[in-house]
Amino acid sequence: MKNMLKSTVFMLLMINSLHAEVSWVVTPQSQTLVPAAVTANKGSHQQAVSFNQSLLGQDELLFQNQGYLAQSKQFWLDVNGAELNKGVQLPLHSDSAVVRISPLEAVNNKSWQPGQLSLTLNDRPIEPTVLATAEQLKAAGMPLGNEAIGFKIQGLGDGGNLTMKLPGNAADSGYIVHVLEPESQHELKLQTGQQQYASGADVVIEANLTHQKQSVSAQVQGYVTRPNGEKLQDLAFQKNSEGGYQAVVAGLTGEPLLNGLWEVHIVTTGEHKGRPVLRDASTAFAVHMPTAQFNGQLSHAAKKLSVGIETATPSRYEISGVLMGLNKNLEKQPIALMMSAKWLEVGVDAIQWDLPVELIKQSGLSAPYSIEQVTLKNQSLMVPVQSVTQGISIDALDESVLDQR
Amino acid sequence: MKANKWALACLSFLFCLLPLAAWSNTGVAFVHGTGHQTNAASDYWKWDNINSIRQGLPNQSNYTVINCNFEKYMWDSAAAGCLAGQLTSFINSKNITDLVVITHSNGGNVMRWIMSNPTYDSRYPNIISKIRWVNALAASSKGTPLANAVMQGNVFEAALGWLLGYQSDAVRMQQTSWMDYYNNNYLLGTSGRPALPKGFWNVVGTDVETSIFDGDSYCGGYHLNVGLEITQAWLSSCSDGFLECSSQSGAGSVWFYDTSVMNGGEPLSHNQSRRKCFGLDTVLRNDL
Repeated sequence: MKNMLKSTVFMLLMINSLHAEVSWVVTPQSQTLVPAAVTANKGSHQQAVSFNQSLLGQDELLFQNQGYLAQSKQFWLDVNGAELNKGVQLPLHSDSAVVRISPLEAVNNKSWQPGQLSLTLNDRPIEPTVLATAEQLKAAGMPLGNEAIGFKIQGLGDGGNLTMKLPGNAADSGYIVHVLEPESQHELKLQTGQQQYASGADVVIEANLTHQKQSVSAQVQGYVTRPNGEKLQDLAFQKNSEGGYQAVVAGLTGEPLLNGLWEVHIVTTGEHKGRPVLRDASTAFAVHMPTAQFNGQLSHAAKKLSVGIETATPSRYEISGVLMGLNKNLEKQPIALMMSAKWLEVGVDAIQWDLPVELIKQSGLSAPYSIEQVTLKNQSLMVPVQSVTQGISIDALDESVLDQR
Repeated sequence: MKANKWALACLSFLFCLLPLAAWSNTGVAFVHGTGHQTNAASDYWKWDNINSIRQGLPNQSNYTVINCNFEKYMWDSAAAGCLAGQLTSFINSKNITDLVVITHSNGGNVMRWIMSNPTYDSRYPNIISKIRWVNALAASSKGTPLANAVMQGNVFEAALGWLLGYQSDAVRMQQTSWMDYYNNNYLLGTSGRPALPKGFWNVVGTDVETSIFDGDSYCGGYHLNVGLEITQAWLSSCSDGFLECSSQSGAGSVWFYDTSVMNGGEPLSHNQSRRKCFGLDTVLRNDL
């Protein structure tokens, strides 16, 4: 009897599903799933949640995956107390500069006083136009150690060799000197090819030191750090055809992003007017972690659309996608951002979207509908799992589905 | 400008047809920026500011001052989780049906996390449903080059910064390349991305005045603004000393730029936008 009832319900669902022809535009690519090596914390808020965000009247949506372009007119140096006592040389190339000095130890006994700092540019004494203590910088929102100082110098012409003396330091104590030349014509650009990479894909990194927007020769060194901040590997840069430099990191596999993103750090040295040009930069990117995947199954029952998922790592997962319909000119227009999430154990399961029936009616848009930018995310590990750009097509929704009662 | 806010709210919810005050119970929540606050009313917002703003409420006891750990990443249970808990308690205990949220700096990101990720936590949808709009004061929506400055360039410094406790997850998150990733993949409301479910109205600070001869520099604390004059060098010409205007207006809609509305056309530095300076409190009060 129980089996008969199950069969009847299944048949009814199948009949209902015929009212909407739902299919993947392109079958989601199968991935090599990450075994359950990472334990996600189930936490106390694991109730399934669905939410539809109206996109009616929304301006054009852009789905970008271009790497962030980092631009730098700054550099950092490691120095010790003996060097600071004697005078640190900073090669500058513009009319103004901002310099920050931060101790690496928190145990120095006395704070620096403004009068201790002495500066010469090409052996001529100069005075800072503004000087701020760590307290003042921290109050402005710059998170620094207690004995940092910052100052600004102006009227440098096209720069020169700045000698910065700050006496009274223990010889072996460590400091960071950070120099920014906001008006400099020398700029370092750093960019990854994409912002998000599929697991195992090659990460392509481009670096370019420019002077007045023209590429110049430089020595480029760098490395990649993992999301937990650990150094993963050095980068081998080679000159590219545009006059910049390129490095490739092959086959990165995803890791949880709860503690941050993957990063690229580079240090470059060029030359101008016989003086070194120093510039450093960093940028961030993400790598998918296939702890689960779309298994290609779709079903539609009543006002719900069910998306099949194969899970290798138990976690809370979210599926999201942008529901589109056609206007009178047969142009696609957004209706809603559909989001739904629940906890999935290892095995095959599904997450259901609630179709935004009211918004579909309100939109006046017609079939065929589509769900684009379908994304699977592991919310417990804060990591993207799979993205399917073309997504799902819905040939039609009949009146019984659109009936709001 | 305020008319625009109401017009958009009306289009979305049709509640402009009804006398709002008669049908709703309005409350206001103050959401602080980066930092682990335990007494944000005294330490972050100041009571004279809060007391002035809440005079705009029909029931002046319908306010809450959030105290959470916004040194953590925005999604952390100590950040958005804590904020969701305190907002939910406020909504339930005061039976709030119409919530205006006032955020400062990184508080805007934590609030935007809740509004952008309603499926992350079952408490989020109810909070979103109660929000009339968010007034985001100097929001760090696109991060800040100052976070880049202290986090980048030297991994040893960064590692030591973690040990010394002056570099936090929140600072790391507010690096510009990081916020670009989160804006494109987790947060709504930036250009080309789906809109936020409720209005996110930015008050943008455009400049810092630090002259010792100008009494206005003293509002919010003169010594604070000396630091801002240095930090502003890392930023573009339009900034509040901590955030560029492009970051402050990077998500949602611009409500107003400081000099167009503040008394005497004064700019709001980053610290002044969380204080009772140049009539900002009156503007926020009249918006409740």
